[in-house]
Amino acid sequence: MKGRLLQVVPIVILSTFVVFGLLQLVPGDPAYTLAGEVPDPETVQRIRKLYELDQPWLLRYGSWLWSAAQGDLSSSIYTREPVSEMLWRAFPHTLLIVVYALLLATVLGVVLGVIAAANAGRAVDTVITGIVSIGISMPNFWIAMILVSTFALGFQIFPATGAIAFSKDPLEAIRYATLPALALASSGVAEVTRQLRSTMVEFLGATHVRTLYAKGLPMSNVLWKHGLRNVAVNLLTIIGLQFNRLLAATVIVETVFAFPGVGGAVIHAATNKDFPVVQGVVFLLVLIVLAVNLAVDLLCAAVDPRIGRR
Amino acid sequence: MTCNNRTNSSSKNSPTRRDALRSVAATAGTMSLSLLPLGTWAQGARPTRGGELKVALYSAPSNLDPIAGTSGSDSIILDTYAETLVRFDEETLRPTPGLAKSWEFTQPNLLVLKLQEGVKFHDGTPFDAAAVKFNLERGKTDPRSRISRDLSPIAAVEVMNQHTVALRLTGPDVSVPMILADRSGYMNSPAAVKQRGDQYERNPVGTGRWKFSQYTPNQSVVVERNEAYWQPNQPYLDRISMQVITDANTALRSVISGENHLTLRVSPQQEDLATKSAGLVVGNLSSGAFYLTLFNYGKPPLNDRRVREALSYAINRNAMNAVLNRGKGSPAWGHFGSTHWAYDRSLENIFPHNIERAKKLLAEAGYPNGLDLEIIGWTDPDSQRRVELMTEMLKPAGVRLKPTLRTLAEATQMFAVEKKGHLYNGLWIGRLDPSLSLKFIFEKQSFLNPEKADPPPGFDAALLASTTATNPDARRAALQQLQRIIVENALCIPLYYDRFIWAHHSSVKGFRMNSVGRPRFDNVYIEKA
Repeated sequence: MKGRLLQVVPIVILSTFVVFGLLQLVPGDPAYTLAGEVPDPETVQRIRKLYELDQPWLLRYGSWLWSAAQGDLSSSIYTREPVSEMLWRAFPHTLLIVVYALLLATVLGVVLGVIAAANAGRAVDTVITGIVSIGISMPNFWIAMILVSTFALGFQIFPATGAIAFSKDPLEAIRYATLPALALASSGVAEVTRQLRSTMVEFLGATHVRTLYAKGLPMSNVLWKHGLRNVAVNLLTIIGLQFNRLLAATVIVETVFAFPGVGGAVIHAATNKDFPVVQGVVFLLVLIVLAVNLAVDLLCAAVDPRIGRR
Repeated sequence: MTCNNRTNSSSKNSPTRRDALRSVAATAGTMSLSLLPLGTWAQGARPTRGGELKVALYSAPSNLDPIAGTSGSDSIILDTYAETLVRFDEETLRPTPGLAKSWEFTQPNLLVLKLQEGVKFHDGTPFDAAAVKFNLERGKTDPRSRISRDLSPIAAVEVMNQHTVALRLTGPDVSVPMILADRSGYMNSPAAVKQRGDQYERNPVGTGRWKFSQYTPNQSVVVERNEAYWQPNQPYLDRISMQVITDANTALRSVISGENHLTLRVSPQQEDLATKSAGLVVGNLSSGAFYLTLFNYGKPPLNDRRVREALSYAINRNAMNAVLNRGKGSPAWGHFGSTHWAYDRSLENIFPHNIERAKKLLAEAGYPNGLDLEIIGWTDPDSQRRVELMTEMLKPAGVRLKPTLRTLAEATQMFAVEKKGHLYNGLWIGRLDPSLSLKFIFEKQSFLNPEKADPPPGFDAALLASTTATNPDARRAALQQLQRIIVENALCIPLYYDRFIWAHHSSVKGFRMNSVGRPRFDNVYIEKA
């Protein structure tokens, strides 16, 4: 555990350094963007000095890292908004749709996966695996647009754009997050269903399952109690990976729904080389991914104590 | 030149029936599905006070401090809480009174402004001559200022009395009033600027109809009614919430679903969908902004006028307008649209589509087998389409274009600073003052003249004449002469004029777009059901 926590430091330094380095490779100088549409060289020089863009990039990275180590993630070079303030404002929105999508993907995926496994090779299995395959095949943004056309513009049940803070009005926040979460969840449902189906089919073919049936246990008991417990480690690993994938997928879905999360913010920041914002988002995401991976490992060890002893 | 204290329509207590009918006449030709709301207004419906207007903005403000912003679309937001010394007439683009109620050139290089009296900033401090001096000097000298170049014609600002200020110019320059109608003319509270320092750009204080209330970077700006506004019975709206939605299709969906009242940009591809949506009013207006291809005319082979002319003849502007603008815009021949006061009709069709002529010119220039050129463009789909179309159009003339696509900032830097490429495909919005617009692109020291090549003979004299002519007709003639020099020397290829397309709920009344894409919400109100 202590070793895992110590890994966080080099991983954060390495990932933020790589991202910072990649941003330097992107052509374009933010001083020109900041200086306006027809900048004169004097204005550009003045801007470069004012925003410390005239410093060598290694020095700027070092300065950023030193501030970050002291809890100051610096400010956006365009809006002057402190990055920590931006993350505090935007990340809860992103987290809401990711958790919501993960819940949907897990609940639907588990139910459909178990049903498909219990009916392996039959028509129900074919229909379920066929339908969930569509979720993988179709891009998120396209599903998002279909959802908006149907449920926001057609039936007018859910809003087409925007968000409400969960802390302000939880029910409304969930209503606003429903369509983005559904769009995000579509591929997750497919992934969980297919993975669960295959591990569950394997489980149902095992000799000890025959014993369970021989003892007279009903099928539902075998599937939902023994089956799920046996595939739990696989399931938790998939959920952990899904969480990380969903975080990345928010970038496009947030744009379609004008959802004010970090996805939209990072696109804007990356295209404009607003490195403090990009670094701040990367810093946060790396911490979250590491925390999720750690949580998954701990949960797996709790479900299967043999893992913890290895 | 003297400007008297003429009261423009926006400064009246409320729109009269005549205003309404004039507005109908001005916009009827461009509006679709608009008969009901305009008809209702024309029948004498009085504007109603109150309500919140929700607007989908296509671009986040680059900065809320007027001197530090870089994007032309900032003005849509700035105009709600801040005011300029001079305003511009939305139809004629001529200067009209703003916070300065009149102005006069008492000497060729001395502009005296008489200021409105009884005006206060939202923090309660008075707007007076000292505030004007503070703001103009700040615009010229503050390290964060992006308008120091715009204000360069002003040498000194002198306070004559509390409500009179004199601007000593570096030379005779009649473009200064219009410069003060642009970003350079916004007045900020000196007390707030001094007190808030670096944080002023996140909490600005002006004199506008609405007070700045809330700003969430890259997301939204909210302004609230200024109860102490200096013009009586203004404004109508209690509150304006502007939400940044950069994707035009998402913005339109937000209006169709009722989350916003108005979107300021509808893509041409979505125009029909918007028109068919119940309860929406869709409008369009030919924009003063136009797409163009700049040349690095200091660099071979484009330093040869015959090559530039050949490229101009090889482009079919009408086809470009038909393909990229669904035929609803207009081809561009000069630098001002057909409704602009400096428009020159004699330049129309000056380079008709003529491949044979293009080939002949290239052969004369020493390129009988054609030539290879590099073009820099932007990465958005419309820009890509434009570059692809140009590439195909130039092929029959023997010109082989090699495109490089980058984001706006990168592309501009590549062309202007790194001197890469021969052509640069972009959109020119320009400044409100036409002389300033042409100067910024074509003068020798222009950022967009990468090699700092000498402009054609007569350019400098014509530019000077356009800023010193003291009566409107002489100024128009000078600008037309300047434009003719630019066009005849084929310093760039104007392609076609953009169209502004917008959509709003039928309950929104009094909204009006203008050719510079800076709609004001002064006369907007929401009709209660």
